[in-house]
Amino acid sequence: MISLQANEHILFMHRRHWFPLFLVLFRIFLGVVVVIVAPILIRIFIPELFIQYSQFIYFMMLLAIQALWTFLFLGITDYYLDVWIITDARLILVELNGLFHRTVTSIDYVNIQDVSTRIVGLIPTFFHYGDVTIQSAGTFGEFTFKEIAHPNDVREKILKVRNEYLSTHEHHPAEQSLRST
Amino acid sequence: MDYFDSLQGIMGLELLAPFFFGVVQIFSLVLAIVIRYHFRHFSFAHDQRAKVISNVFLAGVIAFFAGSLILLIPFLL
Repeated sequence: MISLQANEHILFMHRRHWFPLFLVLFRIFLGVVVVIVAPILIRIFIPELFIQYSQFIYFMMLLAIQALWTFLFLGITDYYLDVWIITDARLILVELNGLFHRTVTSIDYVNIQDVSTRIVGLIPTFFHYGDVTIQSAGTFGEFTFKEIAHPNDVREKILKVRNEYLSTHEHHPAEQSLRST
Repeated sequence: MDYFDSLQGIMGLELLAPFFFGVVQIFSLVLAIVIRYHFRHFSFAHDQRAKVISNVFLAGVIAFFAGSLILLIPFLL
C-alpha cells in the first residue's frame, strides 16, 4: 500500500495517456472478433466439421474469450498501477514492468536537477503525450515516465512545485532553483 | 481436418477438452491472484476504483470458470 509521510499532501497524480491503453484494448477487441468469426467461417466453409465438433468449438471459444479477458486485465493493471504522484514534499514514481517487476521510486525535490520532455512521432504529437525525464542528483540517476499526457504541462507543474518547496525549505546553497523555460 | 483427426486419435476430445480447460483455468487463476494482490497492495487505501477493477476481473474469471465447466461436463461423461 502506498503511504504518505505525515503532513504530506498529494498535489497531482498522473497516469499514462489513454491512447496506449486504447491500443491494448483494441488488440483484445480484435482477438474477440477473431474468436467469434472463426466458428462462423467453419460453419460456412466446413459444415461437416462444425456439426461433428460443435460442442468442442463452443467450449474452445469460451476458453479463448476467458484468456482474452485475462489479457485485458493484464493491460488494465499495467496501465492503472503505473502512476506518478506529485506531492508537496517529493515525487513518487510507481512503475510495473510485467507482473513481477515493480519499481517504486521517491525523489525529494532537493535532488531534482533537471526535468525534460520528449515527444517523438506523429501519434504522440497529435494526441499530446510523451516522456518526462527527471535527472536527479548523485547516484539516483535518471527516471523516465513514459507516455504521459501533456508532458510539457507536467514538467511545468514539477518545476513549479519544486521551486515552491525549495523557497520554503532550507537547502544546500549550490542547489539552484530551476527556471521553467 | 487430417491433423485434427490424428490429434483426436492420440488424445481424444475427452482428454483434450480437460487439458485446455486446466491450462486456461490455472493461467487465469494465477493471474487473478497476482492482479488482486497488486491492486490491494500497490494502490492507495481509499482508491475504490482499484477495488472495483480487481473485483470485476475476479467475477469474470469465476463466471468463465463456471461457464466452461458446464460446457466441459459432456466431454467427461
